[in-house]
Amino acid sequence: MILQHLADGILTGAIVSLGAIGLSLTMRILKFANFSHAELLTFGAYAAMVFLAFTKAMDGVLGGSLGPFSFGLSLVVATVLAGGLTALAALAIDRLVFARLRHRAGHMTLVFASFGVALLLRNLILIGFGPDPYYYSRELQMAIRLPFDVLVLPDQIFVLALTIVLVIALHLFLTRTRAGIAMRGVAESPSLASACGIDVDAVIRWTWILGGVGAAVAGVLYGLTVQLRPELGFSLLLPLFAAVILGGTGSMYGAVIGGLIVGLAENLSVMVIPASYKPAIPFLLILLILYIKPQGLFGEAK
Amino acid sequence: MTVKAPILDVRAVIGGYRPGLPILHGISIDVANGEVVTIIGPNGAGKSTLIKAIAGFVAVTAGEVMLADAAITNRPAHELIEQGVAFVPQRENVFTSLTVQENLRIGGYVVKGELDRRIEQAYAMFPILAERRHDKATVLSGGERQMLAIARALLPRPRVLMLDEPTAGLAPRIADEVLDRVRALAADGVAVLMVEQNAKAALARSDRGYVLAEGRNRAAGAAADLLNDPGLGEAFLGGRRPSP
Repeated sequence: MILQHLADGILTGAIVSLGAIGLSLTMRILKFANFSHAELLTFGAYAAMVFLAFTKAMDGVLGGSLGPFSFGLSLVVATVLAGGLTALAALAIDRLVFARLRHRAGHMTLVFASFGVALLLRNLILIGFGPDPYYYSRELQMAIRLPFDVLVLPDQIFVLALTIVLVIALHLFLTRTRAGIAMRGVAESPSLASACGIDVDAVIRWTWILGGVGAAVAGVLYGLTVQLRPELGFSLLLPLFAAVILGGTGSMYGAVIGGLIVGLAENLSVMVIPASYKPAIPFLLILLILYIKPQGLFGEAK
Repeated sequence: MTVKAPILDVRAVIGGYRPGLPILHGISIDVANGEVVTIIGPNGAGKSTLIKAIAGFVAVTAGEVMLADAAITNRPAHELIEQGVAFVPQRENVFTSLTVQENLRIGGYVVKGELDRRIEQAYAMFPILAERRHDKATVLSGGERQMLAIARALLPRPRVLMLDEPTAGLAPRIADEVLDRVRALAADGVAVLMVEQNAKAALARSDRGYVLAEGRNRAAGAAADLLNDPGLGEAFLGGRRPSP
């Protein structure tokens, strides 16, 4: 039983990690807590659903379901397109809202502006698609029986594997490439980065693009394992922030570990407390880490 | 001012952090290739503001900044390094969360093609950095950080190197070592412009100096003349330690 909860926790944690990486990256470079990030997950998930309606029509070319998974290449293509559209949406939001405030308002103004953006995005999706849930696929999947009678769905394994691949890819990008190191430089000191010849505005644009794509992929993966609702992102808001704060704001590795801890804590908690209290677990984790190590597990003390 | 044609020529610059509140009131300075020029003056004279204005971090509202024959007034900071102007700020002059090697890679952001070779040349010039290449810059001593900051700024092979108080907070022996390095750079043809509170030690290694006060030029001349000018007095040359 405990192993099943562990497996579920890791899978939930993988999705939270993916969303938290984007949030952590934007928080570190843009220096404010962006509450609208979670809504980009919803935006990406719904955008993929719209694109899926078109790509499904090309199933003849793209083929049906991939192996044991509930989805086929049509969803992969739809996710890529949704990632691009979400990145564009993130850039547009920055241009219309955050960029206007960045140089002349305090960071709390940006935080409150992000609340406004979050409400706007969520309600636009509600107006456009209504409150009822949607599914990418209604195909039944056979669970795979792992050792010790742990049952997982093939889609869940795909989610975990893709998260691992994306985390490794992002790690290589940030540590090995010129653009990645520039991004880390801007995160620490935009003015010094400028003095090194780095166009800080370009790095900020790339940060929104990466954050937007990450949010869209996390949104699709969450929609794949649960369902699409306008509150999809909102329901992940607290776990995302808990993961980022647990791991240490700005640390990609912290966001990954924080996400896994949140996922595991939520799923293991149902063994000792009623499941309806599960959403309170991220709150408790935030309180705990702020009390013990306010800078987070991987954060540097100021 | 200088006998040789200046590579950096700042002409009657007015500017400051806020519109309508200038800190620089028409300052002019110039630096030639292979020269070390030091700007001194009391606190609030506008020394750091001037160097930041040249570096693109403070708005210039009137006057001109020329690099050779090209105007670089108010060019964005990130474009100046490609023009050949490098700037080492006083504070936050290295990326503490990155390793020495990563700091040098960022320093060479605009270098195309031969970055690895230039980084090895930087290590040859500053062997202490080679020993610590995999260490995060946050664990470096003050002197090592300053060496890293200078090595990083030199990677794109700038024509002009600007340093804002390179010896601030350093022990006297380390400060002398940093200033000796700066002097040696000029011998390689780099034009060096630095702001220093440690006036006597800096002028002792400079070709020329400028004295600023209240955002205006107050005096200028050969460094040796400024050092021996009794009129400048302790107000301007009262560095933190006696002449070496």
